[in-house]
Amino acid sequence: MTPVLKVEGLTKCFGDFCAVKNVSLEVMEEEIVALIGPNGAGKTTFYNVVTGRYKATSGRVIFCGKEITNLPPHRIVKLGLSRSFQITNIFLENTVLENILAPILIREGLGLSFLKNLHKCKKQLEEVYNILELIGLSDKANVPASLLAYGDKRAVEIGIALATKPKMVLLDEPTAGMTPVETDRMISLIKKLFEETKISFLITEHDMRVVFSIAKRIFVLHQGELLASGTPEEIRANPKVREAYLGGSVDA
Amino acid sequence: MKRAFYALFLVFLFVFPFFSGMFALLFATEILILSIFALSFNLLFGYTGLLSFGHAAFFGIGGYAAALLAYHTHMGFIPILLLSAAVAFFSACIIGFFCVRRDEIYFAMLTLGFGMMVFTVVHQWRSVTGGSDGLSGFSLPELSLLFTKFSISPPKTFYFLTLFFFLATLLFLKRLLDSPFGLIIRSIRENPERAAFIGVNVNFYRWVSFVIAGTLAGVAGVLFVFYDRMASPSMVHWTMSARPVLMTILGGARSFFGPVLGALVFYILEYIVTQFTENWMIFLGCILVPIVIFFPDGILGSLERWIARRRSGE
Repeated sequence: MTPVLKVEGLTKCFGDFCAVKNVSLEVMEEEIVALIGPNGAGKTTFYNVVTGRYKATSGRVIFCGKEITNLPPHRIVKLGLSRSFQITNIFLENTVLENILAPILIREGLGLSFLKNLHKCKKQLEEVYNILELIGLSDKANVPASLLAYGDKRAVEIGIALATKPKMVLLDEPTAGMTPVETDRMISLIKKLFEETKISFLITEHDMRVVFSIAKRIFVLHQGELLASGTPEEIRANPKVREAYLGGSVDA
Repeated sequence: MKRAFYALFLVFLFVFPFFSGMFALLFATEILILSIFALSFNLLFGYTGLLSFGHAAFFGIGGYAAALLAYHTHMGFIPILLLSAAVAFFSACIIGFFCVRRDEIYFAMLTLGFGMMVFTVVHQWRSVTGGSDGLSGFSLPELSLLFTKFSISPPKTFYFLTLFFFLATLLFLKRLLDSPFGLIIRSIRENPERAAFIGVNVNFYRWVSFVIAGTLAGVAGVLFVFYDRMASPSMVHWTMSARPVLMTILGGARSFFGPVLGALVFYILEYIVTQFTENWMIFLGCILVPIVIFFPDGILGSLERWIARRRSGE
């Protein structure tokens, strides 16, 4: 298997403070990998640099053999690397359908079709309904996203990422702030997506139960540095990881 | 119900000149022109999420281009309109290129800055623009249609010409907003950051929207110059940029017809109030403040919401 995402010595500093220090990692094709670490470990900053939201201080990001370091977000998305956000970040006043349709239209190069009616984009609408079915929101297509329940908004977040037809998705704490029931729904959604699409996933997550039930490999980030990597069993047994988490919670 | 209302309004617009007096006809023509101007502004404000304080620059550029062409050449109305729109188009391409690099208050300041620069050029370049006197004394161009030439001088003819452009603007914007492009700019309005992460080149789409809005404002400027029979620096003054802002907020930025209703209310209020006092801006302020505080969706937006609520209640 070849790596989809290859990060080499990535560093991001804000003034004197370095939130990400010399991190290198690889994610293979058709793989679900987790990136864990305590609050403030630099997970979200890592995502922001990889996806072009922040410029890297040093290091390289290679996606499908192409260097994407410091490209603007929209170009990185077009190459097939998509992401979701920790804090729900969707198009609130647009309907659920429109939330999913926009990335599809952009992907197909229809963004500048000035005079075509949206209802006539039959092929694209069909794809929207397939994605809505996948994320379980078929019956809410015409509801403004702002009126959805929290768990459903999170599902739209994932749906938007999928609609870009990515080769890989970075999920930033997909279960943040969810109830146990919503969390279970999200876990089974991610598993289902992986089985059906074979997209690679990199997931940051707080909830160890989620991490151990989904990921085949785990990277641990601590104070901006890569502390450990390995299978869930190896990570669970790693004394350095236990220490970083102040014992306890890794077993949770 | 809504359809019937709009159909009735359309019929009214067509029969209006046959029973109205001269003053009302001119008044209505001006409202229609300013409605086009406000509609073009709202493509940026209501649908792309960019508040421009310099939109009069393109209204003025289109208008001055038309005045200069009418003054120095013998071109007909249609060539003048097309050329002036092209001038507004290229100006919007250049000015927009810089403005869309920032959003929110910074965008507003950039547009204000460019607007003031255009005003200064128009105001100071006396040999070309006539300075503070403006440009007048040109003869109105003729309109060639189907191998016949019409004079656009009779107020009734000019009213129908304006009505044509008003309706064309409405149709064009409606199509535009129901198109993929319309969805993309609305997505940018909702969440520019996320738009970038679905693959949208946000600055580019903002730029396209800016250029369309600027070109339409230029067309409105052409009509205004031939309506007023002069191009004056007040057309490019920042207070002219404030007009579509006020009209749109009055009528409702999220309602398609909001800017039109806003223009209508603005002019009627101005007409009534200036009969009593010179200081009509005080009255406008007294109306604007409660609207912004209590009805942020504007008159039409609030009305639509109220009807929707009543309907779902019954």
